[in-house]
Amino acid sequence: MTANHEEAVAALVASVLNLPINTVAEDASMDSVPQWDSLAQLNICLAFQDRFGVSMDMEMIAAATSVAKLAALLGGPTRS
Amino acid sequence: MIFGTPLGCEGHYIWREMRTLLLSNVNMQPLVASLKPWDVVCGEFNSILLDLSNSASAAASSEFGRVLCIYDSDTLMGETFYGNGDAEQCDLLLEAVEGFCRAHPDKIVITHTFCFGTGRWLTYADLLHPESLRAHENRLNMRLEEIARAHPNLLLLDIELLFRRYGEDALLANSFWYSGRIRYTNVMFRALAKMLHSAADAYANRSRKVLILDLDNTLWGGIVGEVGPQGIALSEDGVGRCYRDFQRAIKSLQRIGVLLAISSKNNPGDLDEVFSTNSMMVLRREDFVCIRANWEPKPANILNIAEALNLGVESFVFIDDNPVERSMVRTALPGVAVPELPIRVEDIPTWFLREVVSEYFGKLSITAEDLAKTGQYRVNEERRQLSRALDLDAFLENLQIECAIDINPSSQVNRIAQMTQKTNQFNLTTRRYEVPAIQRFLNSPDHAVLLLEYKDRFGSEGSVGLAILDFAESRIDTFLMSCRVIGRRVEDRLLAKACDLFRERGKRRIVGEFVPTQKNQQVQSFYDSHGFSLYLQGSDGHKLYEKMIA
Repeated sequence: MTANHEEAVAALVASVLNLPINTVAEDASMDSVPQWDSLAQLNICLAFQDRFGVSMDMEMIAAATSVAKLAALLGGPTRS
Repeated sequence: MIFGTPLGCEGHYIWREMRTLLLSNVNMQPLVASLKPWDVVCGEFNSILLDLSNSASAAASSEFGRVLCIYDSDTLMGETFYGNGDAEQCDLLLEAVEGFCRAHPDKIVITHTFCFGTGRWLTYADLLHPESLRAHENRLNMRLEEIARAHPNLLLLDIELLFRRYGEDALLANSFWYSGRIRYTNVMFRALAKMLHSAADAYANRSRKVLILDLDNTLWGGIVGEVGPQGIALSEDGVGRCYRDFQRAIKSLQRIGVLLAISSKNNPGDLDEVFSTNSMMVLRREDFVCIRANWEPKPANILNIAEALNLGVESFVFIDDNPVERSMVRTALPGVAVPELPIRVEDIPTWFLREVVSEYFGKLSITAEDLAKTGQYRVNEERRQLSRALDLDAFLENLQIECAIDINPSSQVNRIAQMTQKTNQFNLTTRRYEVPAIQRFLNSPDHAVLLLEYKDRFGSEGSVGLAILDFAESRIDTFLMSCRVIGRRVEDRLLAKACDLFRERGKRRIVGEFVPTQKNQQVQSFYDSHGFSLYLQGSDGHKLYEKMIA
């Protein structure tokens, strides 16, 4: 995984939410994207687990509600 | 893949536009994305029972042509434990599914078997105890299978196959279940979607019909032209067993009605020798409807096979280990499905059954015709080969045609009526008769019904020719031949027999008729070329012929 986890996660979020890829910024979160509701959160986490091979527990699903927080779960250096 | 090939049939477009309603008792929303390109709408959360039973529900509305019921068995099982009886919710679902299928025969309902998680497994007694979860599951599934047999609009899928293949650990998403009632991982949603797409294809008769196979390094290891018919890798052990198991898998597919063909760059003689001398071959020559072993480009051979079988290449799947051949076929014939083979030979048998069969050759039922299909096509192909190799006289002689003409065969009354109703091309008068009318001809002293049965060295075609003679008017009322035997001069034998019967009755003159229709132009000169002369022609094209007999 490169340092640019945020970019990959933002693309994944856009794809799950059916949004154009550049409309989800690397600082996007549940609060800033209207389509990102609690059901979308589950879909995003399912896709995240599938795409990056990270097994998400209930706490992670509840807490990782932004691109940055999801990217942080991938470990290693990040931009923030 | 599902809508990738232009099939050009109407059903295809109806299917595509059909909206689908997805009902469940848990959060099945993530399945919607996997089901693209289907237009799927999720029902209300946990609305499955209500939607199926309520005549004013979304499921019952004309908006949805297809209803998917993908439920969680464990949730339906609820508080059912040893000793407290059946699971009420499961019974309600069965009743609701059956009631819905009966009330909406025009809608396609897709659901799956009950399958409880191993998390509900209690102890070793589960296997034998009559109230164990497994016992409940077996009983529920038997009832579900009965419902599916009684309702052709219900497609029942075996969801346990997915659990066996991928394993529960890969498919169940516990943290998502407790976070938001999502049972499955995306692995399961993708696998479910693939199964649903393939079953819907099979339901719409869009499954493919023909499997075209390469030989060297596909059906066996090695190149037969180099190592000889005994040197190829095909055995019960080691790498040879991979190919033998692959052949077994292909054979099982052939048994359910898929036609097999060969397109291979080989000397035909080498192939003959493999078939006749290599005892490790599971597939025999007679399992194939077409064999093209030559040095022509494969796309040309495949087109040739399409012509021989009278099928479009859209119903073909081509398997070849050589990426260059695969690419050439893909480019030249985009309708042909050309799957990529696994890199390892040992993965080929499983890959074939899991990926190729499930994706391209799904079937929801297997008929007696399916079981006999290869034989029928092979016989036609042999006759065709022969007809090209010889001139007509030699071809007919080589066929060793034997005809039997039955006079007034009263046991065949249904078949005779059917022939008058179905035969369009080689039919001189196209008079359609129901069974009672045929019965009257059979019993009448003034009539004779002649039924011709055809057989040649390739096989029997059954009853293929019919003449109905009217002795009172000395007239041939009906004269027809099935298109299966057109061009084999069998009609001459039937006409000769008819003339004999008139002669026996002391008739000196026979009347023949031609009544034109949209479809019988090919016999408009039949009597002209059989010694009859035209004596009357109506403005509607109706012609009367006569022939004097000694």
